[in-house]
Amino acid sequence: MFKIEYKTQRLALPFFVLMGVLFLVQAGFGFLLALQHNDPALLQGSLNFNVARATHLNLGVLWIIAGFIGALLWTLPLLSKKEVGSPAIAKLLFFALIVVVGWNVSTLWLAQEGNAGWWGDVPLFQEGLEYIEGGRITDTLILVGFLLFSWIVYRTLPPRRAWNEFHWGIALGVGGLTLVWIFGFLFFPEIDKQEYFRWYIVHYWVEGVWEVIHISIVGFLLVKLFNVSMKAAGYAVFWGISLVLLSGLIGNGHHYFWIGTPEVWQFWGSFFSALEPLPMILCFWHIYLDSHHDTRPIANMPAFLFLLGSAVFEQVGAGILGFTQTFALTNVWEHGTWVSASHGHLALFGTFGMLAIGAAYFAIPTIRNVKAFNQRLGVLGFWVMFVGVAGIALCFAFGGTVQVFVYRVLGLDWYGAEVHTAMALWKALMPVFALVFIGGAGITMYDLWTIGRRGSIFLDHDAAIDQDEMRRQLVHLPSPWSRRLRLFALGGWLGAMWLFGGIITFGLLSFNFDVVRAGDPTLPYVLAGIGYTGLWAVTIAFVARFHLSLAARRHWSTEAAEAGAPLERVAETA
Amino acid sequence: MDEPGSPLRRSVIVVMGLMLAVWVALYFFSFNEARGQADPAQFSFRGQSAKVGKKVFQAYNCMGCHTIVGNGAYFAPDLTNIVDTVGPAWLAAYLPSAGTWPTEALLGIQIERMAEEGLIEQKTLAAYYAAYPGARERIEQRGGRRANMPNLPFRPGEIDALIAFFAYTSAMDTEGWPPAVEARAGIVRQTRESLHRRAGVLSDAPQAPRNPREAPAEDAAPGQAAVAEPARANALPDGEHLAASYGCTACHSTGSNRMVGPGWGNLYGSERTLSNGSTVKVDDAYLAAAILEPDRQVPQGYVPGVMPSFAGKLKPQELDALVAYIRSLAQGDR
Repeated sequence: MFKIEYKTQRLALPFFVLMGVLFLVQAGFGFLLALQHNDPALLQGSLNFNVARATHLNLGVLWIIAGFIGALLWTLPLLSKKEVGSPAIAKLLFFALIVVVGWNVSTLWLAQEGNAGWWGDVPLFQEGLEYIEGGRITDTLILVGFLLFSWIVYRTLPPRRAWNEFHWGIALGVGGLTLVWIFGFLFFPEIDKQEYFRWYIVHYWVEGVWEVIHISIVGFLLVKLFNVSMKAAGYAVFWGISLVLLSGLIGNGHHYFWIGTPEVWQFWGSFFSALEPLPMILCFWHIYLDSHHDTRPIANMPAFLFLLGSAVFEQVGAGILGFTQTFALTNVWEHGTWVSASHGHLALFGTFGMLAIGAAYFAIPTIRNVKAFNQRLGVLGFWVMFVGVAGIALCFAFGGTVQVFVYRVLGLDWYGAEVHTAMALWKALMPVFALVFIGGAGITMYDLWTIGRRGSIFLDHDAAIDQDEMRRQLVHLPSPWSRRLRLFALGGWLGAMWLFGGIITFGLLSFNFDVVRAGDPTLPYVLAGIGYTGLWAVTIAFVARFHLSLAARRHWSTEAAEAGAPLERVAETA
Repeated sequence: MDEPGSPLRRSVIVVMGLMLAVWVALYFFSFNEARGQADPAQFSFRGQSAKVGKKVFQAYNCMGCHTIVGNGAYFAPDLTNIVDTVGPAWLAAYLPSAGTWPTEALLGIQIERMAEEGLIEQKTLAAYYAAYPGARERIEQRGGRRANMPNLPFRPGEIDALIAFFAYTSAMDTEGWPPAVEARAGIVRQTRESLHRRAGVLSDAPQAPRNPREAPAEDAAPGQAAVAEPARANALPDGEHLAASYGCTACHSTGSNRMVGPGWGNLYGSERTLSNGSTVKVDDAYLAAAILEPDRQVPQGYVPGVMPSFAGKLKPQELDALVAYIRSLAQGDR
């Protein structure tokens, strides 16, 4: 374990605390939404669904941004080998962020009164556009915050000539984040133009600059965790960023199929967004390579697991599920249903949320100067959250498939008695998984909050390991899943994920078949059943496999491993 | 492994520039006027423009439950083609009291008004139903039942503006989305019936409107409802039934709570302050006048134009029965 090298890295801590608070509140709103899906009358009139949803979405963006700011304040000094520039502004930014959150959340409910605060064509208080519900006052506050943060980043970066790929990635990411936000200040009377520019923010954040930031931070944290060479990781960062931008720029076209823009987008959008998984495969591959760069035990397992979760959900949620619905012929059916939300939850929380939490697990022990901490709670929190969000996304996927059939194929449009009734099972399961997720979130945030503060069981891998504990766990070692994961096997796991992704894609495609359109849902239901179940099973099993194989390392004799003995034999003889 | 600044890496930047050029070209192609996409400036309703309608749509964050061109939440139906489906009169009948599906009587009033103003061509319910089968389906199956949407405090003109906006979105070319329904009628009917059974609502046969405060799940079987009706209404032959079938109870509760309009419980005999500051005692004459010309004496805190006028719709005995029913809610046994 390493400690902070620059005292301004401590500035990250309040942002991580804020992240945790907002995250829990956001998850709570998600639970409320799940309940309202089951009983639409719940809190109707006092907290309508649309207000709760807007709050859920906005807090989701804000806590991830708080996490990003924390992650960057902590990593930038290490990357640039100097203190954070303008630390006073960083302190100011923290309070500014609290003000923004407070203002934003307290204006969203005005939608219940139909009060946008229109001043000419400027909605001062809230503007009722999905993901960017805040009004111009919120927009302006956020822009100021982004500019302040860009300034801090700029002041912390080395002179331009000394930039490596990581510096470029962070500069492009933070600069781009600020730049595309400006498109949120536009009002159009035309729906097609409004949607066209709304996706400039939403798409270019999550499938553009956020990914660029994601790649840079993941790359750097892997360097730190595994002592990979900066040059090798920089190579991956460069190609990751290039592929994100090359595929994602025109890939935005997958949002332009049905909003009133011309048909030609169906070609451009389908083609380029089908390429969007490429950088994710690169990232997935690299997290394997870097973690198998040597065979030393993982010093900080929760941090690594959240990074792994981030790369895996980026692959599965953003890459594979995104791929299934990115073609005009599949998108035409799933567009506007829960199927989108399945992809959205896995991709957004999975990729960016888990990265932010992972970064916090890296940073907080170092900031508190904790030499060793009990990692079991963090590992437990990861797994509970992982299963929780997977369950949520699975409900969305199956419920959405039913929704496509009942609503689009049969044309039954009475939500209260027809569409909701058909989806009832998946709606009923949603709050259950939401509670599981909140449980995991609570465990994780408690753990982060108390790392180094509560009495800890000694688990420093650089020092002696509790002998009894080790002997107890050794019993499980002969399990093949504790052995080293080979690159070939990694390819097999990835192939299996894509195979099930292909089945899901074919299931969505099958809605075009005459027999399905005539009213027989067997084919899409069976394919969705196999595809989603299989993809989820493989994903969970893969993360378990990866986790077990790395967790077993701490039982291997490091000396033997360093002497070059094959890992399996080390494991067997240990 | 290539180095920073290598020819390969430079070529990536060149390709990026090329794609940016494609991107810009696609923008101009997308919003070229020759494309003939619907223009909101061409749509208005009762003097309200589609642009104002879009502002109303945003102000209430409609997208936070519904979708428009498929974007938004997935909690409620897509609204892009709603005007094509149900027509402007049904929307005008529904939106003021969105918590309850409108009845045929409420729709009839709106059709008549709009036909008089020359806003729609259909003068009768039958003609309207022929033009908008979606309206017929909603009236026959859902009329008078509780809807999942909350009552929203629309201001005067906002509903007209929304209708203008939806007329614009209905006219948009969305490249064939949503796909046309091609399912066999038999399968659709069968699935609908089985879902209605599971939801506890009845299908097919037109419904006698029932108390909208009852959740659909609590709805009784048709036989039970028919038996219960006369027993409840012994003192006043049909006031309660009339209130339900004209859709009054979509806005007025029989308790003292406010839904859209004032609750009827203990309304009779109370003193009301009007928006011009004067006070009035709620008696038979005031109630009758308020039903026939609701905009003449508007109480404080309420806006004119929300309640439709029932002049010419109610027979004199029906008006008397309604007033008597409201009076009974103050006197007694509830």
